Amino acid sequence: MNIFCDECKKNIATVFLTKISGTEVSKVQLCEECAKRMEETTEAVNLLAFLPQVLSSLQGVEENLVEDILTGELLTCGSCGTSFNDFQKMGLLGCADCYREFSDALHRVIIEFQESDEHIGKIPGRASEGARLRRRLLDLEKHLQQKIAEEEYEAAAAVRDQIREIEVRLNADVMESDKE
Amino acid sequence: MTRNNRAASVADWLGTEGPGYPLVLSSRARLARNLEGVHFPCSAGEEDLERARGMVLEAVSKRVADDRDWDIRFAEELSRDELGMMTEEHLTSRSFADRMGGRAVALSWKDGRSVTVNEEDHVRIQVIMPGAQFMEAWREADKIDSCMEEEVQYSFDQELGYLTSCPSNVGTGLRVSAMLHLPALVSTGEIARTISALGQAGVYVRGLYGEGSGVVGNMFQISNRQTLGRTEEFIVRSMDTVVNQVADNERTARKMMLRESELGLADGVYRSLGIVERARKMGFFEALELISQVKLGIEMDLIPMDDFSILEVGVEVGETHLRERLGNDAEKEDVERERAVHLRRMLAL
Repeated sequence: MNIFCDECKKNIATVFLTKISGTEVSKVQLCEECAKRMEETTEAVNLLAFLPQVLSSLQGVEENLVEDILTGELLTCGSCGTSFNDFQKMGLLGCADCYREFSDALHRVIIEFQESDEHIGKIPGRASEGARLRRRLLDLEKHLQQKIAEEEYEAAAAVRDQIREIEVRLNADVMESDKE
Repeated sequence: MTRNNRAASVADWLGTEGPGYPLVLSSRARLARNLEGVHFPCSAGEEDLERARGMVLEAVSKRVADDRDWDIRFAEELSRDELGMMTEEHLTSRSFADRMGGRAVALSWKDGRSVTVNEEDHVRIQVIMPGAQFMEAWREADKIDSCMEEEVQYSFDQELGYLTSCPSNVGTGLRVSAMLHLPALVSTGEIARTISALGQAGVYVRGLYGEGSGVVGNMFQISNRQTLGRTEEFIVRSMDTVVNQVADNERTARKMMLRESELGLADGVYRSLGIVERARKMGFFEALELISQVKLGIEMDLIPMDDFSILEVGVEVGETHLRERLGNDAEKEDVERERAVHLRRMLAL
């Protein structure tokens, strides 16, 4: 008894595939040719598959942003010329600056996909100390603004001293690396 | 890498047993990096691609490829066959074989270490090890990364971490994956529940070659989805936990199958063995399915045969590897015939 291919119903099925789409699992019986074709065309569970869902969830939240995204024309990276439209099609950005140029829309994509928007992993070695200091600096500057807003001037002055200290160290680093 | 010395070293890790054997076949850690101030490969011009390749390869040869095991090759110099072999051995991704200008690969064939240049990102560092050795694989990749970083400046953002061409890799750029052989979970249908649980735990499930979602030969590749907002160690440890859980599920499913119908199970694996013994021609996917069943029979002490490496045999019956044995002008039918013959040879039948 031969089993025929689920796909073409013509050839004899020799391959028994487990098909995963999202979290759905099904079994299919295919001939070698159809199996190969299917493997090539099945949708990978990747960012691209995920994008439309995220972008449609933007609707109603920020009308202007959505319009920009839908027309795709206004959002183009000044550095590499990649448009947000290109990104939607390919799932790929053109350069590091795209992250800044598309930051509003991209931020949501990243939050939805990564469930986070802050890197807490490895920091490049050579730049590590500087990067850490600069991050601290950003935090302190925010803190300073807050203290000023709250009219806690004494606390603000203490924060400002810390900022100066870090700035001195950062400048020293720059001079050090210039010497190299 | 000449053809001859290549054939002698069909990636060693493929045939090696690691921790978690026989359920966990291999571990892979991959880091994605890009050079600062150069457009990502998909939008880079020829000049930029060449420049990136020069910078990366210089870093590799100065800091990483310090022994004879390493082999550096430009993609355009590799033949179709060599590209196909590398894909079949999981050393490079399928898209690498679509050779686009400016690509290159540095490989250490023996131990599954590689650096590919100008694929989706400027730099992809990959380490594959047999069995469940996620921490070891990541440490090795991290070591290569740190060495490279003494020579090149990576594109790095204070908030988002390492910037990658696809935002699904941004942050650590780390993707850890495991290849698992799960025939009993598939047979019992329990795989559906496992996959849905994995999905909720932020883990991808894919088929043998990591692309598409059809699963052949009951071999599943699972990998972390999130690369941002977690430390590398957290990602690696989570993968370890998840993989242990899935392997446990497979063990339980195997016991259940034995308990429910040992005769049915034995019948199934022996039917597969029968086809392997008698078939005159065989397709690749069919071969993978049969290998999986025979392997299950051996592991469950139903078939008294010597054990074999499912990954190694799977690679050996691949299209390019068979053509290598037959010569380039082999017809499709010749390949299918050779596959049936070679499979018996590999299993000592």
